Amino acid sequence: MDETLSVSAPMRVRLNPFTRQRAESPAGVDDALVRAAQAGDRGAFAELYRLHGRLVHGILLAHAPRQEADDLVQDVFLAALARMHTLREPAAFVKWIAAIARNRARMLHRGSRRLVALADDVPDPAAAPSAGELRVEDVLAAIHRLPEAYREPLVLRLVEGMSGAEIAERTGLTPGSVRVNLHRGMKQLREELGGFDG
Amino acid sequence: MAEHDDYLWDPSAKPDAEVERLERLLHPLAYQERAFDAPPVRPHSARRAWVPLAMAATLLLALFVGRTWLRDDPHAWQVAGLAGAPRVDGGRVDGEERLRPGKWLETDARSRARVELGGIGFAEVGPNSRLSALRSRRGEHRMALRRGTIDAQVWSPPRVFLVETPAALAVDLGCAYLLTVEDDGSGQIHVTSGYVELVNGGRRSVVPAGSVAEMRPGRGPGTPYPAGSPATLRNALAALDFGAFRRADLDVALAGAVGLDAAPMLWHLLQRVPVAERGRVYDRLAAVSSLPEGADRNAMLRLDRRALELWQRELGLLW
Repeated sequence: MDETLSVSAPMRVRLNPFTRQRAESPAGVDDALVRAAQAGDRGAFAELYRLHGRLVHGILLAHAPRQEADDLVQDVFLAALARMHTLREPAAFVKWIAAIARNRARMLHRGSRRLVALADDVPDPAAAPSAGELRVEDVLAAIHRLPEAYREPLVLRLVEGMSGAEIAERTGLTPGSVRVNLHRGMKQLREELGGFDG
Repeated sequence: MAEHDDYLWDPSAKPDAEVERLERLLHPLAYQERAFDAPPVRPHSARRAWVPLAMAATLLLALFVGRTWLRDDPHAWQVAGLAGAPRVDGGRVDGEERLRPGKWLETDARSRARVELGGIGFAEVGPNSRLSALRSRRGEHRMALRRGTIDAQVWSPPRVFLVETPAALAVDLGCAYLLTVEDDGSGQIHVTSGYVELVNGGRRSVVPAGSVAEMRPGRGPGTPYPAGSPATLRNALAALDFGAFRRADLDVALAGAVGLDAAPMLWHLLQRVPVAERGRVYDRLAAVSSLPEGADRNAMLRLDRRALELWQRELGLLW
């Protein structure tokens, strides 16, 4: 007998009593959804996409040009869908898909390093800023120049609007290290941007 | 800084003008949710109805077009020459050729080849190399590199692509790397993207991007160190990993451990030095990276598994 577990409106994913019992924490929700998706439930997979799309997009944006990040989100989830059966620990889904996202972004970056630089770093002459004015391209290019440990937390916080606690929960890092990386990253970003002020 | 004052950590706290300005500026880049465009799935009942027909079709396929089917196996490896005259089981590679499990690919001093790894990536095989395909199937692609070099780029999920060498098994965790095996079986890996796990017996090293690790037959993988480290540091680590412990070697290794890049090296080293020396390694590790909550000094010196994992996660060495 199946019961219905509402993991988010409006989608309702049907889970059996065993998986329902496990779906109490975010990792438990993933666990239940992954097991359902591995059993062929596309609704469960779509729910995983909805739950983690923002995280995947943030990771991609931390590594890849902005033009690529939107399209790559679908690619990452399609790659995951094709390999769901290889995921041995369903509760580790978020780390797994984050790893796929990093790999996709890195492979893209390796293949088109020059294009990345052009896409993000070269100012558009038609949109030349006035002195002291910051542009989104400049800030993203500055973030891309930061050490890897700072890039993802900063993008997830400043672009995707996650809190530090949420970043820690989603990435598996400790809250302490996320806080340190956010503040160190912000300090370096400020230096990269020439000590801009509000 | 108190948590309620830290807007960078907590967006519900009192706003910080500088952070808020960046948020506004970057907002157009934020994720715009789109419907997931999954490939269509045939309903279960319909699938069941077609089972006999599918079985019959499969049988016919196996009987009449078996060769074609084998050639089109999506998990099969294909070899192509890049330079010189690479050989598969002694025969020269002309054009593109399948590398079946059990077959050997060899290059001489002037040859190079590229192996397409069944859709999960590729490996460029350098001169004077000898490798064998062991398995190429869904979920596991495994080769043995007996000597020479492969430059691998893999985009599969972790632990699908594995390379056996005389000194260690290289387990891909989603990455790109250069792996070299010498004639005596010793080797080196330089990871350029992602992570590689090296295992042999009870010894395990996780090598992150930008790091190098040595390997020795009978001793397994050594401690990863930042690429570009000076010879003094490399020699000291080799002595610690593969020789008898000498305090002078640890002195050199600790002196050379500078910056966050050295943290993975110290995390491995902590577990490999004598008990009496762990405190010095811990102090250096705490100096170059932030201390994870729950991984205190005493727990780390005891090599408490949870504390090690917390710090491992802190350094991004755990999937």
